[in-house]
Amino acid sequence: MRVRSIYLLAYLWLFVILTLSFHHLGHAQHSVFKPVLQSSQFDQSQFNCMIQDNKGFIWIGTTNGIYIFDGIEPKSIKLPDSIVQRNVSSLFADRNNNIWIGLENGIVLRYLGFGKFEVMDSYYQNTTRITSFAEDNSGTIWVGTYGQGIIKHFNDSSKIINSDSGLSDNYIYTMLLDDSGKLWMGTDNGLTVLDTESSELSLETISVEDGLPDFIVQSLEKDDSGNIWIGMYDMGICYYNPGDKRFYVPEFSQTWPHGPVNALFAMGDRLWIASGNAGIVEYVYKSKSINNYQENQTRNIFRIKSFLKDKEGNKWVMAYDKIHLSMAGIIEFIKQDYAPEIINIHAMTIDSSDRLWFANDHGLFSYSEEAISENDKIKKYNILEESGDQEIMSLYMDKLGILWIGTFGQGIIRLDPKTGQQKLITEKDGLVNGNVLSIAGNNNEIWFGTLGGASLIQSDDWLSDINHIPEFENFGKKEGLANNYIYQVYLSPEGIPYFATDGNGVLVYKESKFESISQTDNFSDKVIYSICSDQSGNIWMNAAEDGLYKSDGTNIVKVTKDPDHNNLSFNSIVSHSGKVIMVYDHGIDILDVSTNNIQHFEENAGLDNIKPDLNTAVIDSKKNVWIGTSKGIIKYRLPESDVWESPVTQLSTVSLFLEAVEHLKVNSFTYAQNHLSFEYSGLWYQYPEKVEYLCKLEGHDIDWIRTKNTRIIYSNLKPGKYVFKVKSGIYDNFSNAVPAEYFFEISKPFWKNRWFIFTLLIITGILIYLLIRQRENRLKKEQELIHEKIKFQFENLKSQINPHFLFNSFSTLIALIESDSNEAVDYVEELSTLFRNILEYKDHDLIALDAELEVANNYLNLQKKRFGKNLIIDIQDLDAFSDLRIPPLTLQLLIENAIKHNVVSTDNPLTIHISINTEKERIFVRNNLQPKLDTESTGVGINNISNRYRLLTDRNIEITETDTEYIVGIPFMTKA
Amino acid sequence: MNKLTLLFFLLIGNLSAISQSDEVNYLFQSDSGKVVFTSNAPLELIQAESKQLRGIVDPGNKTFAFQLKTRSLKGFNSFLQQEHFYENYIETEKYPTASFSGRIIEQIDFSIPGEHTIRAKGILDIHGIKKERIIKCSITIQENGLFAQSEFRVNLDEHNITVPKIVYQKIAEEVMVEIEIELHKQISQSE
Repeated sequence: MRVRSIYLLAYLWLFVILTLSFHHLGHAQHSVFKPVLQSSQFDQSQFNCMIQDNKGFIWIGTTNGIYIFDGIEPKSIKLPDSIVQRNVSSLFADRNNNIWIGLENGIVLRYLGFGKFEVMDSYYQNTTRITSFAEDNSGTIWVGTYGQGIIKHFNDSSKIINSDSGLSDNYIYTMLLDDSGKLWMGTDNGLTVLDTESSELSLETISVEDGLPDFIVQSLEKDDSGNIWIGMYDMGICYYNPGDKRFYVPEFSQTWPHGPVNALFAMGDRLWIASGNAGIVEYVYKSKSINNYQENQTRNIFRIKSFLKDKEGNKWVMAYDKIHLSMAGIIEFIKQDYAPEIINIHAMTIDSSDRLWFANDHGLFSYSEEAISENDKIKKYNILEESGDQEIMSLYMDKLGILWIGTFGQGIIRLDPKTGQQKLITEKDGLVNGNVLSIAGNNNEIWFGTLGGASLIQSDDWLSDINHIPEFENFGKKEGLANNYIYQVYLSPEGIPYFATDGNGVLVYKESKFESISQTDNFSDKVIYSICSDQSGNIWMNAAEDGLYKSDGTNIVKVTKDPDHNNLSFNSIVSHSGKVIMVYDHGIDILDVSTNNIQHFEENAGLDNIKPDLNTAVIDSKKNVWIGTSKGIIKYRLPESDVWESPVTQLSTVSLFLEAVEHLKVNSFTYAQNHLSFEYSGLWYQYPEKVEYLCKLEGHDIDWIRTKNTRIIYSNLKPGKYVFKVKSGIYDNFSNAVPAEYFFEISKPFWKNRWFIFTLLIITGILIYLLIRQRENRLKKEQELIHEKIKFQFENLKSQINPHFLFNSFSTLIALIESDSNEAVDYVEELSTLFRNILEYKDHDLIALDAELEVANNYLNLQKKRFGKNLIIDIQDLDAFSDLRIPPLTLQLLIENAIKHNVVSTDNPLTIHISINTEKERIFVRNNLQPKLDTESTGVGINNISNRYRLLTDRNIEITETDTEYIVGIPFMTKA
Repeated sequence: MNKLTLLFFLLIGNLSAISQSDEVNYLFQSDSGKVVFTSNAPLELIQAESKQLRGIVDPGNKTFAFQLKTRSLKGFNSFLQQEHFYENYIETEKYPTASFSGRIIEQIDFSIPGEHTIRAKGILDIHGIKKERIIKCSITIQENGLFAQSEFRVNLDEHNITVPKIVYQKIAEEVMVEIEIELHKQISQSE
C-alpha cells in the first residue's frame, strides 16, 4: 500500500510538472481533416468530383478519368476507347447503382459494372460540360449541362429542356431535388425550379426580383429542416424557406468577402461553405457563429470541388489537388480567442444549463457554446487568495447552483458564481482529507473522494448559504472503506455510490456498509481510475494498465480489448446512448454496449497525444461529450444512428486464372476452370489499414482464414459445390460482420458424370450382348453346318451305296464283264474313283469346281454305261472357271436327282445341261422334264443342298420348273 | 462602318445563341479603348498600354466582344523588353489577338442613362488559351454611348505563359489588367 501511494503521489506531481512544461503545444482547432488522397497519386490529374455508390465504394472523377477507392488504394476504371477526352466533370450513382459519368465535353456514360459502359449516344448533340445529375422519384435522370440546359433521361430516351422550352438560363451549375419532388437548378440567372411530379413541363424562375441576392447561383444544399441553402457567386449564401417562400440572408453573409461559393454541405446543426477565397467557412445555425477554417490547419484546402458524407458518417472534402476526410461524429477542439490558451485541463463539470466548468493551471473558467455575447461565452473566476496556490482536482455543481471545487491538499472551495462569494472548507471543518480528487452528488447527498477516505454530506437547503459549513460524515478503513485512496466517486442513477480505489477494485456503499463489487480476488485488488454505468444498469470500470471491465450486478467480465493498444489505461470513461466513451492518452474510443464494436479516434482524428487528466470527461444534456485534455477541450458528438458502425464487406472481383469474370452472372465452372481468386474490400474509411478479413471457402476450408490481404487465391479446386465467404472487422471484432458470399460450382469432367458412366455401361452391355449373341449364332450355324454336313454325307453315302445304285451298277458291271472285260475293269475303276472322291470330299465345306465336275463326270460315266444314248450330257466347257467353288457333291447329287426322277428311255432321252451364268454367279443344271410316275420325290437331296447353302452364304439355290424343264441354279463362290 | 460590322461578326460570330433582338436596334462600339497591363514583380514594375481595344456590346441580347491586337501594347521599360515580351511570352506572331467575349449577367436597361456594376461572363482568350471568366465591370450609360471600366487579374499560369525561374523576380505571376473604353451608340444597319 505504501508503494502504491508513493506511486500515486509521483503520478500526481508528474502531471503537474508536465502540464506546466507543455504549454506551447496546445493550439485551438476545429474539425480535424486527414489528407487521404493526393492528385500526385493520379498522374497529376486534378480532382473534379466524388460520390459514394450504394455498396460503399468511393468514386473519384479527375481531369483524366475515373477511379474507385476502397480506402486503401484508388483503382482506375478504364473508360471505353472511344472516349478520348477523359475529363470527368460529374458523377452520380442512381438507385440501381448504375454510375453515371458526365464529361467536360458533354458526353454522358453509364457504367454497368465489369468494365462495361454504355455511351449515351443521344447526348452527342450536347458538347457542353455535364455539371450535375439528379434522380427524381419516378427514376428519371436529370442531367445538367453548362450551356445547353438540362437533359431529361427516362426509359432510355432523352429530351433536352433549354431556354427555348422556357428555362431561364442554359448554364446549369448545380441541381438539387427537394422533398416535394422539385428540381432546383442554380444558373446564371438565379434559380429555376422544375416540378418533376407534374406531367406538364412546369418551370418557375426565382431571381433577383424575387429577393435572391445574386444572379449567379453556383451551389445548392438542403438542410434537415427543409430549407434550401443557396451559394452564390458574389453574395455569399442565403436560404430559401419553402414554408413562407422567402429568402433569408444570414447576417454574416450580408458582407461576404470570401468569393464564389462553390459547394455547400449541411450536417445537422451546421453548414460548411466552400468559398473561392477562404476555403471552408463553417456556419453554426443556432449560435449564428462563423468559423473560418482558413485560419487553421486546413489552410491548404483550397479550390474545393465537392463535399461528401459517406455511409459511415465521415465527411469528405475534395479540393482540386487533395481529398480530405473528417471522421464520423463531430470531434472538435473548442477554440476561443482567449489568452492564455485553454489547455491542460485538470477538472471539469457541467451544470444544468449546459455551461461547462473547468479548471486548468490558470484557474477556474466557465464556458457556454451557445452564449450569444462573446463576453458570456467564456468567463474566468478568481479563487480565494487565502486558499493559496491550489491545484484544482475536481469540480461539482450542486442543485442550488453552488460550485464545489476540490483541490490538491487545500480542501474544498464553495463558490457562488452569481455573487462570486467563496468559502474554503478544510480538514479542520471536518473534511476527511484535503486532497479531493472527485466530487459527486445528487439531490440528496454529495460525496467526496479523497486521498484519505470519503466524506458525505446531505445536500440540504442549508447549503444555499455560502458560509454554511456542512456536517461531514467521514469514511475510512475504520468504517469499512478498504482503501483510503479514491480516484472517483460515482453515483449511479439509483443513487448508489461506487468508489474507484487504488488497489481494492471498486467498492459499493450499500445499507451503510462498504463491500467490494466483486467477490473474486482477481478483481478486488485492481487499481481503478474511473466508473460509469450504461442504460441497462451495467457498471463499467477501467483498471489501470489492464483495460475495461463490465459488471452486470453478478458477474464481472473483461471487455475484449484491441490488442494493438499499448495503453489500456483510460483516464476517464463516461457512457450515454448505449455507448461507453473511453478517453486515454492517445485518443478516444467509443464502445457500442450492445455489439462491443469499438471506434477509435486517434491521430486519424487529430487526437494524438492528448494526455487527459483523470476523470475530465462530462456529458451535457444534448449528449455532447466534453473532454478536458492537455491540448484543450474536445467536444465529441455521436454520429447519427443510421451510419455504418463496422466495416462492410464487398466482394469486388472473382477471377478465373487471374482473369476477372462477371461473378454476378457466372457461377459454374468446368473441371478445368479450377483456379479462382477473390478480391474483396472491407469498407471502413475511418481506419482502412486496420481492417482484417476472415475468409472461408466452404467445401474447401474447414476454418476461417484470417488475413489482412484483400485477395485470396484457390488453385486446383476439385469439382464440387462451394461458397466463398469473406467478412471484415477491426480490432478482432467480427461479431457483427455480415459476410459477402459467392456461390459457385465446379462441374466434374464429363467422364466422371453419372449419366456418362451410365450410358457407357449400357453401351458396353449391349455390345457384349451382341457379341455373345453373334458368337452363339456362329456356333449354332457351325453346329448346323456340321449337322447338315454329316446328314449330307450320310445321305450321300446312303444314296451312293443304296441298293438300287449298287444293283444297277452291278447289273451293268455283269453285262460289261460278259461283253467287254476291259470296259468292265474301267467301269470298276470308275466306280472306285467315284467312291474315293466322295469319301475324300465329304468333309470339305467347299471344293473347286473342277474337282466337283470330275466327280460329276465320274458319276455320269457310270450312268452312261447303263443308259447309253438315252442319257445325253451337255456340260459347258468350264475350264476357265475351275477356281470357283461349290459345296462338294452338289452337281453329282443334282444329276443323280435328274436321273432318279425322270424317265430315261430311247423314246424319251434325258438331256442334262450343266452351264455357268457368271452374271447371276450361278451354275445351272437343267434337264428336260419327263417325270417318272412311280417315284415319289422325298426332296431330301434338294433340301440338303439348300440347307448347306444357307449355312454357307446368304444366297440360296434357285429352282425353276416349267412344263418342259427342270432347272436348278446353284450359286458358286469365288475363291476366298 | 463596314469595318465595324465585320469586326462584330468576327467577334460575335462564334458566340452561340446570338440573335438580334427586335426591340433594340443599336449597338455600342469602339475601336479605341485603353488597356493597361501591369506586372508588379518584386524586382521590377513593368507596364504596357494600348489604345486600340476594339469592343462591341449588344444590349439586345446582353452580349459583348472585345479584342486587342497584342502587338499594339506599347510601353515597357525598354524596346528590348517589349520585343522580348512579344516573342517569348505573348507570342504575338502565333497569337496576334487577345479577346474576351460573352454575355452580361445582370439585367440592365441600356436605354436609361445611369451607372451600374455588372458582371461580364465570357471566354477570355489570351495566348491561345481560353478560360471562362466572370469579370466585374462598372459601366456608365450615357445618351449616345457607354463607358466601361474594369480591372482584373490574369494568372499567367492559367494561360500557359511560362516565365523562366530566372526572371521570376522580374515578372509577376499575376498580371493586373485595367480597361477603359468609351463605346458609341450605333444604330444598327441591319434589316
